[in-house]
Amino acid sequence: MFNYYLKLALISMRKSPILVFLMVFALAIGVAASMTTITVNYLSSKNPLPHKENNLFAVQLDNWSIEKSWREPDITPFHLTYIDANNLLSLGEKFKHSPIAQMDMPLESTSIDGEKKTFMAQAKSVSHDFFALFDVPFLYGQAWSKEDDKNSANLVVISEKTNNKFFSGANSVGKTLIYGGEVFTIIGVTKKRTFLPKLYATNVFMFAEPEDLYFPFSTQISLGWFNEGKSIYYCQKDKASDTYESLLQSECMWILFWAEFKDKAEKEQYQQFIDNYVSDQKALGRFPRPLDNRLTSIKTWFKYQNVTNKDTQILMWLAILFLCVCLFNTVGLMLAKFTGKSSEVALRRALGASKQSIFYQYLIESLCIGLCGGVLGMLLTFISLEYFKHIYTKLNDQVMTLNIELLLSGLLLSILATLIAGIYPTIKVSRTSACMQLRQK
Amino acid sequence: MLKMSGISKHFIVGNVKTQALHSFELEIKQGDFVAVVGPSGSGKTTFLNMTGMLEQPSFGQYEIDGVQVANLNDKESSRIRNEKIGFVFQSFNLIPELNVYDNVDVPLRYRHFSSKERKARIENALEQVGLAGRHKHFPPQLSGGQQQRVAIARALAGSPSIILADEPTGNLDSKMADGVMALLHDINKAGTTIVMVTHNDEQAQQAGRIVHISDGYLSESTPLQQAIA
Amino acid sequence: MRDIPLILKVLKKQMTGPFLLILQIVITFTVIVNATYIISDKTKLLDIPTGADQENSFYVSIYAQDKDMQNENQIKSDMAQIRSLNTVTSAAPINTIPLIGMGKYQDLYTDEKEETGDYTAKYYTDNAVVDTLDMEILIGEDFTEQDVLYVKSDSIKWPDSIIITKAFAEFLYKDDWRQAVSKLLYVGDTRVRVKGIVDKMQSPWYFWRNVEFSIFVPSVLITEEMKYLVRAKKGQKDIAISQVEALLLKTPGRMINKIETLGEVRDNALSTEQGTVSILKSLIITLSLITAFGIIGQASYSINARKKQIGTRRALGASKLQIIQYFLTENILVSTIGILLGMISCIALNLVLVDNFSLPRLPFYYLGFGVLSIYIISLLSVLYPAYKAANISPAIATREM
Repeated sequence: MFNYYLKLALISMRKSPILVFLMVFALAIGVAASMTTITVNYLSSKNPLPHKENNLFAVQLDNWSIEKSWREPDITPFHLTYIDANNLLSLGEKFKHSPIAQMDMPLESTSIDGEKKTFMAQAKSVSHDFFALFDVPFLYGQAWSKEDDKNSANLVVISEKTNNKFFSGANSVGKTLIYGGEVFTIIGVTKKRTFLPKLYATNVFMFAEPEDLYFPFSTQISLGWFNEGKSIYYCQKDKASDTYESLLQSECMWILFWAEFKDKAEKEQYQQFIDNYVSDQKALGRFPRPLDNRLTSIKTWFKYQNVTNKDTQILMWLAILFLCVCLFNTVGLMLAKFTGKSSEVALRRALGASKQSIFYQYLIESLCIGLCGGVLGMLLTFISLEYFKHIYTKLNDQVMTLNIELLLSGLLLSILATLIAGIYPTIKVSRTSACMQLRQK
Repeated sequence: MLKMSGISKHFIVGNVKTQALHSFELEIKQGDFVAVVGPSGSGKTTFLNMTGMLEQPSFGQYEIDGVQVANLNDKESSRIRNEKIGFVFQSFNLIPELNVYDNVDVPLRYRHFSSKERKARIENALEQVGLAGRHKHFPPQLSGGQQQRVAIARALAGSPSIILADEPTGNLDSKMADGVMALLHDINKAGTTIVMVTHNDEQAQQAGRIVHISDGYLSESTPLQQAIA
Repeated sequence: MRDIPLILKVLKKQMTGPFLLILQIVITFTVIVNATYIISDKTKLLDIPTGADQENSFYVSIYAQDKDMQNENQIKSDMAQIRSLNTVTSAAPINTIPLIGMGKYQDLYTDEKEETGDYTAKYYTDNAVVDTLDMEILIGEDFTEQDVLYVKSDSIKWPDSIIITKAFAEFLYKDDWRQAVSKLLYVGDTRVRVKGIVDKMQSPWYFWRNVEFSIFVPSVLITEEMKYLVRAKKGQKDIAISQVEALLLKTPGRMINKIETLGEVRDNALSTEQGTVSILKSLIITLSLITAFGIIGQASYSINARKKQIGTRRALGASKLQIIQYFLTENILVSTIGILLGMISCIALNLVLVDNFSLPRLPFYYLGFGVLSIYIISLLSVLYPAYKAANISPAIATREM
């Protein structure tokens, strides 16, 4: 029966091509507008590590001055001071956690032959746990070890892109590069992946390009490096002097800190750990504000970072309203089309079709139209996303790329929308009386 | 076998009640050829609609082959109409976008036959009406007489108990009309009951029985030939 | 006009078509008016100049491999050489660029209790900044070479004086901004004197509510990455860029990280806003088209369904014009209902946007614009079907359908 209705639907659609085209086109545009904006909004606020939702947390200590909170209404600083990051690392060795700091320096090859390639690398200094924390996939090699962190080893993990640039994609583990004027040995190469928004960053930097390299946080400290220009930092009090030592002793916060727990019990342990630590520090005269140490979930982190762009959200809602207009349009067009068929319907009823059969027949026709609208709509979505990439240069391209999930959702949206639009016309046409029109030819 | 007893039909529009058909009794036996005659507006259409289960009677019992069909729900009445009744209309009412094969196929589809069975029935029916081999033609490509034959094949294909014909030759010229009438009589001789509404006196006289409807009242008479004989 | 009661009766019987149209009109009205308002709001933003000499200015971001290479003498030497180029008007080292999206900010107050004050953008630079950023000292004085400090970190020593923008001065001294000059402002634990007030300079963040609040601190912040802002002579920007680049690379161990013109910085910053404006414009046009087609379709269909009725009216003496008038009236009636409902829905949507996205409130005259647009779209769409209706032959009345 389904095949029969399908055949009838196709014949019927061929009979009134202009009308069908208008329906499909209006639907497609509505679907495209909605899916484009939904894609951008969805991808830019999707948790890239959904399976770690209950395990991965940002560590926030409230180290601000007593007068008012760091940011209204009651948001505590995102970053830690060096004192606190270092202490948490050394006192909490049994936990899995990592500091993350921005440390961009020039990167150049050590090969004497050929052209010398140098570029400013986007880099983060982290501890060895970082790679497990954020599920960083490796193409070659692996992360450095706990010992390497302790020894402030000159090791780097470079990205696939960097590896391609310097080593044409070959396995470069063991080779060296000059980073910030120092010789570093490559211990691993990471695989390219879509990881947006970047959890271990703040605000718009969550959509920045992926890192070119990672190196040990302890190494950054031992080399006396600090990204004055690039780091986001804020100080509760002025530094004593402008030496590096002074920076390390200061109440300037510039280090992000993330931790992973295997279960709720471990999370509570950690909370206890940081609370005890801060209480101890209070005794030394630090941490003037009341105790407010947070283990912030990914979802809350997104909220703090205002991850969704206001404009793209507004566009999404306007696009959905647009889709509604297209739908009402489709209902009207379907009414016109179906009621034009009332003589054929009356005939079929006379020949023995029940109201239900007529209903199914036209439901399937609606489905066909919906599918066509969906396919054309997703094509248009693809095109408009490319246009979006062209316009929104600041937004990372990966946030405007269709994946299978979204493609299927778009088709489903179109079919569902058409079915909803078609319900009223289909019911109306199935109610056509068997005898009304028969004599009036 | 058709049995109608105490059937009447009225319409109420606003405060006005119109009695389309006054209570009547009618029995039609298998193999009958009944002509229905009467002036315009007499209630012929209502009678035909009710006989064909396109409308429900206001009162009365209607039995087809022993089954009460007067007050069935939509699904049931559609099924019975589909299986037991075949329609032939004055204006053919073929679906122009479907070819001959598919047009005859329409009522069979609502019956859930296998495709093999449908094919057999369609070919059989087309042969009976003399249009074998015309499967791929479309209605606009056929003459009026041929279109009506396709309609008759459509009515036959489901092996109905009764064929209802509403002025089947009304839109045909006399030659085609004769051909169609001959076909109907052949089908009737082969065993199918035929109830035919007609304005044509000659056609009425060739039927086995004549039912008159006038001002909503049914009466029956015998055709002249029988009367004379 | 006298058709109206008849039209209403007919509409009541066949409600679905007009009902769908009304829904479409309501949403179209709502979206068009709100979208237009957002566009005009953003366009205002896009038209505001930064205050700098956008056409002729650019910056160079340089990096020294050797950390110690970046020092006071090197910077002074670089500046002297750049300024001596014949394609350059002025140059200054600076920590960030207007509209670039990153930078430092500072809160300053007129009193110790911190009752009057706010956050401003903070530019660390030398005494050539006023000229390089094409600013004008409105009152007070420009920096001298003696005012300038060279520091390695920003949290230690504040210089004695700063220069602020007029906008900030107006905020601090609402009655007379000129008072700000030579006043002491409280910043952190110390105080600085306002040496001069300049006309205008935007902050690095275009979307900031305090985008016009900027202060200039005569301290050159020595970091491993330095930015040099250069204002070229009119039309000489491209030549100046290659000259400056070549000049800076003469010092070994240096890397040019990036060279960007101020025009590029601004375009980049505002690209999203510009993009949103384009998208909104296409949305408005497409929506209008779809609604227009909806009206044409609906009108054509309903006219087709009433063919016999129309033919009969013509046969009974109605002129073609009267038929057209009938359908125009019907259309205006439906549109008006849609517009009235649309106005309510439009204001409702705007309130939602105001609450959730802190958009400004819609001024009422925008509604008038929406009303006009809908009527125009509506009437233009119905003209063709109405014309076809008028041409239905009266002979249809007698024909058997």
